[in-house]
Amino acid sequence: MDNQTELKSRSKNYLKPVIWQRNPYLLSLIIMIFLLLLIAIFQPSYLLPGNLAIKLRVWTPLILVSFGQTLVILGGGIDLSVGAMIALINVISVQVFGLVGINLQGVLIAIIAGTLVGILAGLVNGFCVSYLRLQPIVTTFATSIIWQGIALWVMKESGGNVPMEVYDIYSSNLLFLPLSLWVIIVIVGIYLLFKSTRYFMHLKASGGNISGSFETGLPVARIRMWSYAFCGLFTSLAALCIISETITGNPLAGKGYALQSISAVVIGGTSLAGGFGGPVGSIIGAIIMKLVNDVIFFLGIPVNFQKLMQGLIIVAALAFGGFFTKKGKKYED
Amino acid sequence: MIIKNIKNTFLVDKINNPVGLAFIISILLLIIGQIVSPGFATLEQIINLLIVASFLGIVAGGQTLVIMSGNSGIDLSVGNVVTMGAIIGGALIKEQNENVLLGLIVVLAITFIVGLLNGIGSTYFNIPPLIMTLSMGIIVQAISKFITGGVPVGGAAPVLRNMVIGRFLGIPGILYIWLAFSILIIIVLRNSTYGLYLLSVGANDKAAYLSGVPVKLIRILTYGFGSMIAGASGFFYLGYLGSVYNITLGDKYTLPSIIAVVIGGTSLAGGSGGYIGTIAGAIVLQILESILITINIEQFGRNIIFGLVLLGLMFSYARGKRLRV
Repeated sequence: MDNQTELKSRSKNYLKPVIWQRNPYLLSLIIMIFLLLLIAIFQPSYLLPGNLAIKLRVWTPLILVSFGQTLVILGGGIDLSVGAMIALINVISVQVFGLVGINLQGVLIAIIAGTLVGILAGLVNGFCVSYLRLQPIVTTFATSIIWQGIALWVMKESGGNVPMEVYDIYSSNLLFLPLSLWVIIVIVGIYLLFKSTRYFMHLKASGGNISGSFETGLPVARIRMWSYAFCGLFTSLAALCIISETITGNPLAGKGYALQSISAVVIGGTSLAGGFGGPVGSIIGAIIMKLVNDVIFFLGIPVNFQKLMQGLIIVAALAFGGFFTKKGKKYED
Repeated sequence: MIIKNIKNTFLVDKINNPVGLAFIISILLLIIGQIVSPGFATLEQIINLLIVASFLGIVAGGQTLVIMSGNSGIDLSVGNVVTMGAIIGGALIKEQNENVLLGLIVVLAITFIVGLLNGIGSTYFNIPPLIMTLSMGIIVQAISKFITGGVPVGGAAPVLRNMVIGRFLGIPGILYIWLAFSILIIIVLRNSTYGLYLLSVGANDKAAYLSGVPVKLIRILTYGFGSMIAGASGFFYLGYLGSVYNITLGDKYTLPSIIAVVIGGTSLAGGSGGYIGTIAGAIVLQILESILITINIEQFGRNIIFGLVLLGLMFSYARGKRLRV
């Protein structure tokens, strides 16, 4: 990019409202409030605390995955393998749990094993993308096929022995608030602590302008690799939540999570081109994705149409994001 | 620096005739198959292999065009489009000979529109093609489900079945169709304005735009053609199967179609390659899959191997530029 085009694009950025630039999640917040109002009119009982607590338990996995996905996308990559990763972590944790035995020790070891698998899978993705310089989208697509294959290898069909107590703990309250809400509070807290760290700044920098960051002396490859590892960590937390909610091992558990999490990130105002946005918006985006599904359900649309609507919403969200955070190539420049 | 470049081009010249390499590999695989299970490489078996490879080969033809168009162009909806082609075909033909032509035309038209939408999403809305086509796949699958309503649709008419599996001079019809299709694609890529534009857009879209090539139009049309070719493949697949028995029929073509293109030496970055390599790639993959089936490796094991093959191919053909200059 020569000087003139750089100036041009910079002046274009200034044309965007400042409030949008500072708070990329603002628009998604408005959409979420609008959807909640819509639900309040059609189905007031939906908003009762008891129901919301149940809903939150179902939403938490997508929220966690979207959080992790945001980090990867901020770093200029993308992770299509999160869904298959959930399946892999799911079956491995359940199998480890079955091997160690049904007791507290078993639970702890299963959690550690699941988390390690997640981080490891993330590191493999990150290594291929950043050190081997393979294209992120196709690479994570290929690894997703591999993870899914390994998951089916470990466990051919859903099953496994997870005791009811795990579900009881997951659905219990801690200090008057549901545990899943605490999970979200904790990750938002982590983000607030994490936000001003050197790593996060470097991550955004290398996502926004990779060659520039490299020339400034940032260890771009290492930064990007760890963003995938963090994504793997959050994905493994999501997988553990799914196990606690369903109390079975399921080799097809994560179906659909990859696209849904990417859409959530885009709805949350993060640019798919990297470098702009933040995880808070993605949390709201994930909630929007789930709320929209429920609204479709309330409107009484036939089952066959629901899937179609979901697909259309994903495309619409992506198109919308592409329109607002446009950073694509312009041939005229 | 200069020495390095010369060395590079020399090496590339030596290794990088993927077309020849792919044909050599396919012959080697045939020999391995014959050793693993005698009777693998008889003429009849090879014809059977080619029949199964032909559907993949046709789908991969569309994929070749899309990948050549550059800007990380890729079409992941092809599997679902193949299914939709078969389902719409079956629903319209209802085993009546006189409906075959109508079925073909409707299938081609609808899948062409699906592809145009893919193209519009990825050019005008800047959605990464892979994500755009993945979501389009969900939509297409939902539409297929909606058409069937959960019950089997009508089957292929006798004419269509004859066209696909009926033999002429001992060779089944689908292989003639594949041959005709291949010649058409190769001529279009080499000798038509569209082919020239496609190559220039894939190689350097900015330069193409500046020399007056309608970049976006070419890309959108390419997605349209890619999808339409997948739909046609689905239509012929219906002729091969006789009836559509499940909604995930074409899913097995998505990943292999990409791998076939990469094996054939078409760069994932676009702008180079051609269809002959893809043909070789499709044949290699089909033989590999047959061998894996022969030695009792299940679907998930084959998927793991295919995933690793794709990663390996990307490592050897499609690595990004170094940041250090």
